[in-house]
Amino acid sequence: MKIYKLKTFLTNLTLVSLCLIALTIKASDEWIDNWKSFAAETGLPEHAAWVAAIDNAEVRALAKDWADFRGYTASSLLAKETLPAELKPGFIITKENIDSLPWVNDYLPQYWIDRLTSEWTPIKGIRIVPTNHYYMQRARLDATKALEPDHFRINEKGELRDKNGEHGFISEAGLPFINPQNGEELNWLFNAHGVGTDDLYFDTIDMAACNSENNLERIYKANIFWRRMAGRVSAPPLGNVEGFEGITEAGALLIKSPRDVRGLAGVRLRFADADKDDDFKLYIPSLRRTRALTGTNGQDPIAPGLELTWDEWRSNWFKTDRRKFKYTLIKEGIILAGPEVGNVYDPLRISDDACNLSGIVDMELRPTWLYEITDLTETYQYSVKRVHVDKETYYAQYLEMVDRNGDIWRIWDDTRDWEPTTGRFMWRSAIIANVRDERATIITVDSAWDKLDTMTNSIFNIDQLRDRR
Amino acid sequence: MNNIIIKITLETKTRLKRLTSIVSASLLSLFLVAPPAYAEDFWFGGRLKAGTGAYIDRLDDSSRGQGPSQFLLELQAEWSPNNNVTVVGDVWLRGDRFYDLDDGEFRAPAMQNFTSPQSAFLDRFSMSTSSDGTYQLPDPFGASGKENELLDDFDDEILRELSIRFTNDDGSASVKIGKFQRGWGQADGLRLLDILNAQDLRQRTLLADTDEIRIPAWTVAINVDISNDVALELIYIPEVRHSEFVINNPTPNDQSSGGAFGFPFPRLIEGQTGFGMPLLGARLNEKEVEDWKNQEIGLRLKFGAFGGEATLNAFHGYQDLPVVVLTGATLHVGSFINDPAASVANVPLDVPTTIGAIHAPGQYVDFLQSLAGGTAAPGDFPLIPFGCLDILNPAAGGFPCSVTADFDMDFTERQKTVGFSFTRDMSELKFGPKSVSPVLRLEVAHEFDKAFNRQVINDPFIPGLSAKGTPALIGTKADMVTYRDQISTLIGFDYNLWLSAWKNQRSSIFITSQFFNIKTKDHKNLMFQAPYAMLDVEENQQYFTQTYTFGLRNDNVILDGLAVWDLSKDSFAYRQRFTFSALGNKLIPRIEVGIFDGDEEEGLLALYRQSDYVEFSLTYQF
Repeated sequence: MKIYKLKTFLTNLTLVSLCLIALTIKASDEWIDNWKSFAAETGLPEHAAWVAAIDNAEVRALAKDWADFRGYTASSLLAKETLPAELKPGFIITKENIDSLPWVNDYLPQYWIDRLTSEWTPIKGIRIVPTNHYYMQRARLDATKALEPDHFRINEKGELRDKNGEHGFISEAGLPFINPQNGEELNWLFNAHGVGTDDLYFDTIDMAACNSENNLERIYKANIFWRRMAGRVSAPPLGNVEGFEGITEAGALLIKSPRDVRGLAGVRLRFADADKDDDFKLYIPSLRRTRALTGTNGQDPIAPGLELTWDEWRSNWFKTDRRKFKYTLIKEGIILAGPEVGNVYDPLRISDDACNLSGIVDMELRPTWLYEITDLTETYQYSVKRVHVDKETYYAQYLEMVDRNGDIWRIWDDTRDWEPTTGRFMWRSAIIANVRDERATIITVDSAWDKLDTMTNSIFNIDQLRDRR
Repeated sequence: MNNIIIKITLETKTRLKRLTSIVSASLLSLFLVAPPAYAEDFWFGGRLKAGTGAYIDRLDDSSRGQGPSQFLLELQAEWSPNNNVTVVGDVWLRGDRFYDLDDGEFRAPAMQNFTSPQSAFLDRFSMSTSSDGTYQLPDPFGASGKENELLDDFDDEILRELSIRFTNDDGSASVKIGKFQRGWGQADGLRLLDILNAQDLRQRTLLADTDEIRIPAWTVAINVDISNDVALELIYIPEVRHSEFVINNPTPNDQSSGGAFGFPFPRLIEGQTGFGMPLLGARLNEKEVEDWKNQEIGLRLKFGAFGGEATLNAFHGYQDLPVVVLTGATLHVGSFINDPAASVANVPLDVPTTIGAIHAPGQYVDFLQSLAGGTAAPGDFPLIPFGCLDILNPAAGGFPCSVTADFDMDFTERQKTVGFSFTRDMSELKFGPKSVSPVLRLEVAHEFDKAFNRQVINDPFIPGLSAKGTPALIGTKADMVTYRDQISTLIGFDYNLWLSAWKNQRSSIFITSQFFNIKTKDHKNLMFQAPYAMLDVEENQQYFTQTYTFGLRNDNVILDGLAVWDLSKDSFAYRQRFTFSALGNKLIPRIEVGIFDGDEEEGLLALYRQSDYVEFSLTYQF
């Protein structure tokens, strides 16, 4: 009897387990099916192309492994929410119907609501697309899995430290605080996303300075290079980069046009130590010389006319320091944000004039954490930054930057060029809008996936970069 | 025989230069035409700039003429076929329509006025800088400056860059070959270690943009990263260039004009009496080292130190500015104004004879001193034996006479300099409303045996006596030129200024401050720069510079100011620019104002005291 019961129990357990696994896999794959039916419905080639990019075994496997590790997917989190009936793939929010959507303020940032009715950067509508399942690289997942749950702590300066007291960003490749309990932990999880890849190469990035009449004032074309200098997992040199000890990330900018600033090159190195300011050097072609700039001044625009300051690189790059800033987890929520489909198409649909969005903007529902970075020094350009961090990418879906009068000054929204088969991220487009003065910097990026293996450390040596045109 | 050798050498040099120009032009044409056909990584751009303006503080206040009217056409191309090779080509054609439009109005000081004994001959003639002289008293002098209307020598003035750079795969070593410029050091405006390239001072003197003022040279630059923060740069320059400038010279057989930015013709002063030296002109010849047979070598080691970046530099080359050396003279019998065409005889004088005519007892200097002492009498004028008119007794008859001294502007002196530079973000010092740190810039250069003209020389005829001022330029090179070590130091700070009262300041005001001290050992009785005989060298020559850059109207208007104080000579220069942006920054209108202040010939800045200007320019870039 006992043996019979045990057999029955084991058989049932096995069946239930198999069913659960099958259901999980089905649930994991449902987002791809959603995209298939959505693409068929819209008939737009870019949507079909995105389906082609995600509908393969590699994507399914990688998505599943991350879902298993996290214990959730974007879809599963959304499934727990009671969403408005209209808020589903295919629905288009327009100037005509927005007043009949009482829920819209709960999901759509005010900046985008205003675009439907404003003459400044106007759009025709916002199309809801199926929610994707995003993830980072497998090697990053493996490195994260290898960590103990309490591997990291945050010290009195706000630095990420490991159990041995070493800088956590340098000693480990894994992501910290996958389930953040407070704003500081979330901030470090956001920092750990970095640029979503070990190496980044924009060839080129177009940065357009646009005025309130949506006219182009200036446009800068540049190369941007970025290299993770510690905890590298996917591209050689793996681990920490020799010669860049103590440095977490390095960025380089080489302006290609306009002619009068062509050749301007900048290299910025970020140290793990909170007390060590960035090493920042600029090669100025009109001097034919390299100049050191202070790493303490990240509040200036990268170039005249732009709303993009040095601190806003990858949406938020000012240095973590709990003595100067307070990091507060505000809430978990759902937000409508641009899908990271830049590998196939630009959901912002930036027009050829560089200062307008040509039609319908695609957005998807994303589960996020919202945290605030509050300036304690009362000297920073923003009194508060509000960052909506995606629960799958660990990167910002949307930012609001509040001036010292308490008014929203700038917003950041972007579209990542996410490579579904590998989980690597670069960028496709971004808008940094100055809502106070009705100006915008609109960015279009051509991410050079095929040139990543040509990047060398010499790019981050200003004397070598200056001669690279 | 000597003449034949000189002729052959000159022909060879001319042919070599022509060959260089032809080869450069061919390569450039090939470069501009061939790569676009198949190259993805090809860039082509350029600009067209035209300006017009007014000189607002003229020597002759009543005159109204044209101001700076410079124009520029520049074409640039770059090609990077792969990560290991970069090719750059850049040609520009520059000029100034001032010389054509001014109608002879702009005046510059000329020779001492021989008709003004009541002023101790300190009164001077003036010269037109935009039309040739009439050679008729009372206003005989002028030079059209036509040669500066268009700077069109292909190799020297049009070809701005033609270079190819090779680098290894990891970028740790590179070689760049071709014609280009390279900047060293940390100092702006004044050059301590930024000495690899000479300067073109003809168009806007030191107020031009740094990259536009440097004269590119055929160069080989090798860069090697020895480790992550140690790098070595080796520079080899087989084509030696010196700085380009024009002295506004009224002397009829060597007249030249650089307009408002020409160096003024120097005061000719007998230093012991303070009397002007009338009837003297100057013919100037450039004595240069030979291209491709002489060379300059530079070495720079860059490394991290004390939390910043340091360099050690060494340079072995040639001086960019000349010493002045007497090579002879011509006595013009028949002209007071050094006009050989109006003279009945032009008597060449060799160096010893010229020295004798100036310094020997009873000759020119002696005569001036007796005039100053009130002991001169009719018949003492030293040129009477040549049939010349006695300026103390014109009624006695004779020819009007004058003397033109021949000088080499000698650019063949060596420049031997070592130095170091250092720059560091002073992150320990945070101040201002946004707690921003200044950036420190330090630079020290030690130049060995820098050549100077003497301001005082031993009297060649009477031991124990000396000659001072302009007469010190009349001697042998051994008498006139001496060598001193010079140590130049810069300390400068850059700072991003945020104003606490301006709550919504969009961008910082970028300011730089620099203090220079140039110490010259045994400085007494040296000329700061010949032929300005009355301009002496300070033991510690000090300058202070201040700049600011600031964007208004969302950076559609950029203001930038540059102020330079010569603390030792009490002179001053200021440049203010208002730069606008239009048509998507393709069209760049600019208003530029330049002001100079100082006493006559009191320092470099004071040389331009009559050259204040306002210029409006339009640049179209593509």
